[in-house]
Amino acid sequence: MQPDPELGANRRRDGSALLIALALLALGAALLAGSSASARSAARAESSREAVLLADAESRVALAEFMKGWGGGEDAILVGGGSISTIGPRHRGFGGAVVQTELRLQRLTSSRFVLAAECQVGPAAAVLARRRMYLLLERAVQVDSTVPILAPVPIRRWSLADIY
Amino acid sequence: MLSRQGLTLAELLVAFTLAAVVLGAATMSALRQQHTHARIVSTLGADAQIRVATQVLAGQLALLDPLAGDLVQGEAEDTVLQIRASVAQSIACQQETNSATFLPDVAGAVSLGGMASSPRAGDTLWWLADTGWLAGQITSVQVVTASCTNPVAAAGRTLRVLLSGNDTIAAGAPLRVTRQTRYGLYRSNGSWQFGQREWNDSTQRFPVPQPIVGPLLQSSAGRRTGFRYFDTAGTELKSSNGPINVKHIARIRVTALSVSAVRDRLQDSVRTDSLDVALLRATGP
Repeated sequence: MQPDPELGANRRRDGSALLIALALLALGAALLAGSSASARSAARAESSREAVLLADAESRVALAEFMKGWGGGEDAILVGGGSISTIGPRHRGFGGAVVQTELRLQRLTSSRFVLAAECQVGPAAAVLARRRMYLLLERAVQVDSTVPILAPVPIRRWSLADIY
Repeated sequence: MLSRQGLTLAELLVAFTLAAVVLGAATMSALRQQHTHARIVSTLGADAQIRVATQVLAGQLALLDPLAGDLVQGEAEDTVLQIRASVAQSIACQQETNSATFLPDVAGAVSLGGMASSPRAGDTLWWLADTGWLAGQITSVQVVTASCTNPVAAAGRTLRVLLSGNDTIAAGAPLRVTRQTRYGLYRSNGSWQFGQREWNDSTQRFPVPQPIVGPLLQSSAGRRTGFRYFDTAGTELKSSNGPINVKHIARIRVTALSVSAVRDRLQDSVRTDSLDVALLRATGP
């Protein structure tokens, strides 16, 4: 039996249409995958940049707030003693990254303290950025007992930021 | 028979035409997005690169006191600056003569010191005594196990530096280590790099530069990568008039230029970052 030539031509056209449709779908899928990968990469890069900035800013804020809140508790620390306080975890930045800062105050002499801050951005299992800063503090000798005790001030030429 | 009656040639043509238009638009949009993303990433990369150059120096320059000898006469030029750079800081573990032991880090506690590179012979150790900052040259460095009790309790492996003088350093004295370092722009493999050269006491010379960041652009449209110096009145001190008197420097401007890898409207996108650092004045050591 001879095949119907018209029916064979129709079948060829149906096959071409399906092929073209599949090719177009594949192209669309590839475009979507490319866009998605590109967006993910951009988001990751931005997240890392933000973490670095957050760690730096939060460390400075923590040191400044600690110094602003300096009071009798800090002055009561004995020479050789110290205190550790933790700020956070709190959410910061556009992505709501977890930020936690630990502050350590150590009294070296009756007039000299060292204050260190370590800020960590991101969960403990996957830290995005970490920043350390140090201040060496010294209290000026006061001879007038009627004047309220002033907070110590940072000594210059000792690093504010971690050397690395 | 039913399957062959589903679509006519005209319907298929219309459907494919519409699909082609939609996919064409989507392709153009995706390509634009990818180009924009590449440009943003490239620009951010260039910005981050030049910021490294300025930020590394900012921390170091802010600690300098020209009157205390932190800048070297004749070594403050347009593209090179030699300084006494801080490489480590810590607290003295115990009272010692002719040596100082750094406070060991305690696991789980915030460290009270930091180190950019390990101290070595030829570096200078500074300690804060009751009379101010004093200094001695480091002759050798040992790794020791120390147990500190007063004023900070800590135990563990740490560094002990031996000094050339006969000085006694009190327990708990703040310590810092400095090293002569040259920062500058240099040419390598056809591109300009920003790097540093640290003094090597054993060879008595500065070795080849170690790159910090690059490639950078040397100059563009009247701006240049490098250093500019100003006195207390804000007047620029120029090396073209002879060596700059470093004791007159009150402010240093660090500028870095870079080209973004992706061209914007067929033009190179030049990125610039500039930072002014005011120096300390006569506070010692």
